[in-house]
Amino acid sequence: MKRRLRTPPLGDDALDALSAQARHQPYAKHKRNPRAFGLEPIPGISDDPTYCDEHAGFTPDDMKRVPGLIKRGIVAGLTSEAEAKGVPRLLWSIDDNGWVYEARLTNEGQALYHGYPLLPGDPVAIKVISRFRDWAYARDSAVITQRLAMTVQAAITLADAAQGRYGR
Amino acid sequence: MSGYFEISASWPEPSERQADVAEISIRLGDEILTRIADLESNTNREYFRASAVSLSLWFADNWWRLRCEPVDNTSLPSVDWRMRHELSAASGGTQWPPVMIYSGGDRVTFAPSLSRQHAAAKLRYLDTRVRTIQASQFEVGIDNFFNLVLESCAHSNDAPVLRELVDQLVVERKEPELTAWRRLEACLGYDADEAPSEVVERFLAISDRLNERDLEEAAIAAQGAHSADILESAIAASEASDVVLDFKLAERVDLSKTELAYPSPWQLAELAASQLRDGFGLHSAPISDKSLSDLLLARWDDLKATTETGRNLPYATRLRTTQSKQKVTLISTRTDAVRFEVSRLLGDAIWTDESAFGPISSAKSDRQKFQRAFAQSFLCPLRGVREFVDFDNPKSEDIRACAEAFHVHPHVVRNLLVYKYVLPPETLDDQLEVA
Repeated sequence: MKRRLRTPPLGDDALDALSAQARHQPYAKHKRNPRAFGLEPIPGISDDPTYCDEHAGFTPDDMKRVPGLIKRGIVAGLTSEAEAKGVPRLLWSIDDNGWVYEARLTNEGQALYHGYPLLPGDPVAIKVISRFRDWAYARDSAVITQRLAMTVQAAITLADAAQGRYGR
Repeated sequence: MSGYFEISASWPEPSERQADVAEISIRLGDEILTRIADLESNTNREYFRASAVSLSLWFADNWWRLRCEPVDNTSLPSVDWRMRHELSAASGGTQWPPVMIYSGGDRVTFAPSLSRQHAAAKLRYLDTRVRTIQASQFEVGIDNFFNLVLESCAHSNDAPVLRELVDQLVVERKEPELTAWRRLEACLGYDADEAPSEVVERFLAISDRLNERDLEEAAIAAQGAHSADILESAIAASEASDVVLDFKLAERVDLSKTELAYPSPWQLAELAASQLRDGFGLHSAPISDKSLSDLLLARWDDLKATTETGRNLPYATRLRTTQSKQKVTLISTRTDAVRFEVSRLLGDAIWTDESAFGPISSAKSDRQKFQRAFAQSFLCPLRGVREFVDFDNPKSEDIRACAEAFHVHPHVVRNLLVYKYVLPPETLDDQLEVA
């Protein structure tokens, strides 16, 4: 599956529908300490994953912000070209501290996703940041505030924080 | 059957093959690219753990660009280029080796990614030096990896997609016309089926005059949708040029006399320059403007006066008109730059032997590397540099004095010293040029 942003992005109606439907399913694999998040470790040998906690400093307290992060990414058009039965197979978002997360579809019927941070070496993160920044500059400030409860300046500051983390 | 380049994969828990968590190791000869220090467990290992199917899909999706496209023509490769050439783009959520893979022509290079690494990561890849292998070795290694994964992960959800991609690659690599199309697409900087057909068709329309390698080199020299426009303009400018050089002296070079099994472009260039210099009794002496033009059966004043020929083009050119005579366009204006450009044209004639056309560009293909290295060694041989620069204590002022004596830019002298490990490479760009 190619990790490409859908171009052009989905329209606002489709994004709103997806935003209402998409749900997060926590996944122990991307937690160095899954039990801290109330998750049972995955038995057997795992791959070398990126960790929400160890790499991105994500804490159990941050879990309540996840629905907002998913919405942020969807509303900004950060969905993949690849789809499964009309549901994007990948979503992206940018956390307040500039970390870029990718969410992978695990159940297309229920639009269930699990997420993980992208490390600074991942070029896809730069694409995501560029798309988010373009969206922040292009959309009417009232629209951004209404759809994401954040100001344009806050959105641009977020993009700058991410660029600082992932840029050269 | 493993060869010089091998991607091996084993699945420590066979029942996991459906989930496909493999222990993957990348080997080039005796060297393991995937040596890791696991700071969490305080152990070292020679493999990373990831989805072998995901890695295979990335190789299959990007095969032609990995095989044919050089490193981006700048010191800051585009994100689009990085997604096709850096392993970290294979899939999200995995700590992939920080390696990028790209072609120089008949060789493929593995080099450290140009992107920032995460300082706090507890998995540290230990050895990501720049390495090259023959392109044929690369193809065999990837084919073997595909076969291993298709056999071992037949029940994976993505196995059918991988099978389809691999089968398509087999067809494309067997059919000469398809191969030529795909190679040009990749050299132009496009994924398969994404290049404007009209651009590729215009390149292929010139194939009765220019061979495939010349066409690919022109595509690499100016990638993108305007590449055909540029090539056609370059050919027209060459045909209209009054500057004619005779490259008959290229016949005096015999690159097969190298004693190295797998010489790099700069090593071949040094050999070629040495053969020519010794053949003309130049040895370690500077070459004057007049001597240079005399060697090419031209007048220096004509060369200097006609630098307008290629001024609007992104690359200089040579176009063969007879067996040895070639019309050239130049894009430089400074005297030392014109000398360098003319020497690169000679270098291109040496590298390509019978080729009808040659672009002189800033691209990073092995052919362009050879041209640059040849011009450096021809105009400023290391034997001559030693008379100015103490290799144990190279000083900037001595480098400048040497450059002035040989009428080259100081970078020429510096690059020669980098090739010979007298000076360290200052950037990854330096390291890649030497490889």
